[in-house]
Amino acid sequence: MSLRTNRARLVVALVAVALAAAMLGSLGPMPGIASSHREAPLVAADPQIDTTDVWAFVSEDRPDTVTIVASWLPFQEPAGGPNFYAWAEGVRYSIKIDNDHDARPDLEYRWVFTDHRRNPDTFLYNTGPVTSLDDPDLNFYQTYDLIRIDQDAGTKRVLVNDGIAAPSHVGAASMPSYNANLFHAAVERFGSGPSYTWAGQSDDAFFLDLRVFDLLYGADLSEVGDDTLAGFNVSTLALQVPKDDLAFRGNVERNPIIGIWSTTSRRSVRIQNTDGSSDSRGRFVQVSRLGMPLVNEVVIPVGLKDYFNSSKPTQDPAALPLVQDPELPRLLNAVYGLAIPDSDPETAGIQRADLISVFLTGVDGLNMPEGGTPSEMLRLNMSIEPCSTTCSSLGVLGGDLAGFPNGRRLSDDIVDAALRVVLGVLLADHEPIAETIGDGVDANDVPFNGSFPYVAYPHPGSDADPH
Amino acid sequence: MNGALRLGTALVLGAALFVVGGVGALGPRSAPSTEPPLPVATAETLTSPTVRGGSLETIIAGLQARLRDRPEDAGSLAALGLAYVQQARITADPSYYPKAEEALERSLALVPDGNADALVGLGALDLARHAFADALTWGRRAVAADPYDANARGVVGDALLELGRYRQAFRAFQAMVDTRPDIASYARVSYARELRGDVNGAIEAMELALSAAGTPADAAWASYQLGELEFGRGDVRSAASRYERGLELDATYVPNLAGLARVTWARGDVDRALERYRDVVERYPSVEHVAALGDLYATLGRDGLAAEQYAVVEATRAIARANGVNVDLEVALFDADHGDPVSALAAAEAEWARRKGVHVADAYAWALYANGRYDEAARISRRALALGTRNALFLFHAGMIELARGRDDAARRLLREAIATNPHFSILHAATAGTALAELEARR
Repeated sequence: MSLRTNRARLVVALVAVALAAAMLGSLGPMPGIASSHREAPLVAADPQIDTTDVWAFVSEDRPDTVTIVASWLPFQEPAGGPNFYAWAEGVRYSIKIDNDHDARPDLEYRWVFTDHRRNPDTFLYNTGPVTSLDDPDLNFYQTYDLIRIDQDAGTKRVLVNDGIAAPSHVGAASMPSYNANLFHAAVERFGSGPSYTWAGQSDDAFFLDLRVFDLLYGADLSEVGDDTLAGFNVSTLALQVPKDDLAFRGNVERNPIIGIWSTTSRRSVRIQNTDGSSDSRGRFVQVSRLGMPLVNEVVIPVGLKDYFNSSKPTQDPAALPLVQDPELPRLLNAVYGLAIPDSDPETAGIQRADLISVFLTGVDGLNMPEGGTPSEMLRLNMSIEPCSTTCSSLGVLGGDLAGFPNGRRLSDDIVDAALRVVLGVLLADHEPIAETIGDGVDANDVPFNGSFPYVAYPHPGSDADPH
Repeated sequence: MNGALRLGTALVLGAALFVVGGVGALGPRSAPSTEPPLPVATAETLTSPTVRGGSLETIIAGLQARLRDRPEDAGSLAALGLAYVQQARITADPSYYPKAEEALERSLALVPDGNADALVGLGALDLARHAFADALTWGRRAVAADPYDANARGVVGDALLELGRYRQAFRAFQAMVDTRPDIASYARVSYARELRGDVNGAIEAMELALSAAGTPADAAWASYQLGELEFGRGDVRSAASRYERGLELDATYVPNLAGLARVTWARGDVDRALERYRDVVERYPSVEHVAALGDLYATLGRDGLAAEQYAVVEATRAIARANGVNVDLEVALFDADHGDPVSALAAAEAEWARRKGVHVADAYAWALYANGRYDEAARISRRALALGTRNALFLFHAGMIELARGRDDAARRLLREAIATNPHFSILHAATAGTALAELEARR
């Protein structure tokens, strides 16, 4: 094994170590810490509103449309009991679009779910084999409304009323021919595009090896390359609409670039109304935000995670200094002596014009709109056609302009691409390792679908060994 | 270097990355193993629905392993500290508190500025040990470190509430839920409403908490709280449903078993109630449940068995004290009820000096009553009822105090209200309340 490869693996391992520290340092929720006389949870788990990823791409099989996919509620063990893999009722799961580049949402697609129990006296998920979405044996199911809010026009339109979410895949016996009967059957068609939406459980489309930092301490990195997320399901929303529906003034030719991010909001409540009464209808509070897959970690320090989840892109220009001089390269410099990338060595301090491009403004000549407000979101140039001969899972870094960071496709290898970007591969002057570093996981554990909603089928609960 | 690790601008590659697998076998390229690799706990590991039964032990083991390799990882230390606080609750074993303190103090020493997680942890620890003034200090520091951290607001609110500073506490809880609505903040809205006597509103908020539960254990907790609210207003049947639902969600969460034990007693099936309480105490010997079993024996005249349980209560409290937990409030109530008025009053006075919340007022009033100081008791018990809390035990205490003062009208009114609120408010006292009221009615 060459020194370069060793070094690459060590660096990945170190990244993972720092990553773990970051995650622990961020200390999100824990299983209900009892704290008071009443022992109410503190630092509570909240996976239902935990956004894992957002993808946006020109649809390969319908290139006049854009597909947006977003997932929540990670690490669903297929056999783990479907009662807890439901969408949170009443929560606003949203995709926001900024098409005039002022960092404000111009469009919002919002899904809101309602729980249903056919037999209210039982909490069973299903009472017999389920062979269709309206099978009476499916005791617990969820419907949703999909609403499109146009901020500029001041309109709110219900695109889908009472769509049915595909249920969790309980298992082969409970849900025979799940893929046809329940997964694909949940695709809802609407509008004249036509447009489509889908809500359901899917295989986690993200792929990477998280075990490296365990293996670092064992000084045995030979096992790097397993997809840690393999075999887990997530809850996914998908949307496919004509490009014109998203472009500023409906004009894709003139305004092909859009910014995309996801927000999740839940209602607050007032302890007491001014008249002394009480109810459950407070205002909505944003509890999760996600656009680019890595900015929360590359840019936003661990101590600002809560801030970021509640923040809006209009607040992002304040993050510029954080993007300019991120911690990771300094870490690698301290430990391995790797040079810290700098887009402008002449100027004092570290500059990272490359990271600002990728995360805050878009890349010039690719997906950067003129005069846009720097803000963190996925940016998709809708005029770039899906790849044909130049396809690469490294996206733009591999010469494939239809891929990350121009939007994000399911098959884009985000870890490898982003690691290389952070280590300066877009700069003329960078360490060689920036061209080769990777986690050894280049593809998802199961194949994606070739048509909407594109995400892979969920692992059934009856699978004895999903991982 | 440590600072860099702490801020960890490492590439957390999508929020999905947060969890380390560690469950299930390794991937296809590895040799099959009989045991999953020890997971290194991450934020999401701690929350993952895939982590079931015994998970806290696994998490603690993972964090300890990690800290052996990286002893200066402030984030892991904070996580470990919080995990120990939780472990103390789950096992009713306060010897975890000193361990928690050590881990959290070390985290704070490594990263003294902006370490909201350690500050929240230290606040949670002091809340658990009933050191509420100290908890408030930690909570305020946590809020300053991260104003967007809802948990920090929760610590402040909990501390203020226990200190009897209700208006400020409710403001903190409102800030908490406005920062981040979730099970933790909805639950506190529920408690605030309950204290103010808005039981319907409390149930409504706790149902929101239940719907926002992210794990079966949390859902079982919320279901239990709903059971307590229902039982507290005399609706035994609804309470039973809630406890049963809680057990469906998580059979290992013992308080739901205790709730059903009490339901069984309330329905008059004493033998079955005894069986259930014995089962509860075997699984989870918290003072509350042990005392309930003792009281049940006592009401049946089985004084020897009652005394055995009461001895366990004493021993448990000694262990708690040895581990830094302040148990004066609990001692005041228990000793007033179990024949040690001197000890009860000393404990009550000590706690009253520290804080003047409604629960302390109620215990202090009862301790004064047990010492024959009825007029003082009346004055203090009025403070227990000042918020309008629909608490049958508070009302019973107030009624008995008025009875002792010869104020029959007031006594009748209060005892009637107690029984109307919840006729099964206390294993020890329910019968007394009925008898006293009957006598008052006859006397009229």
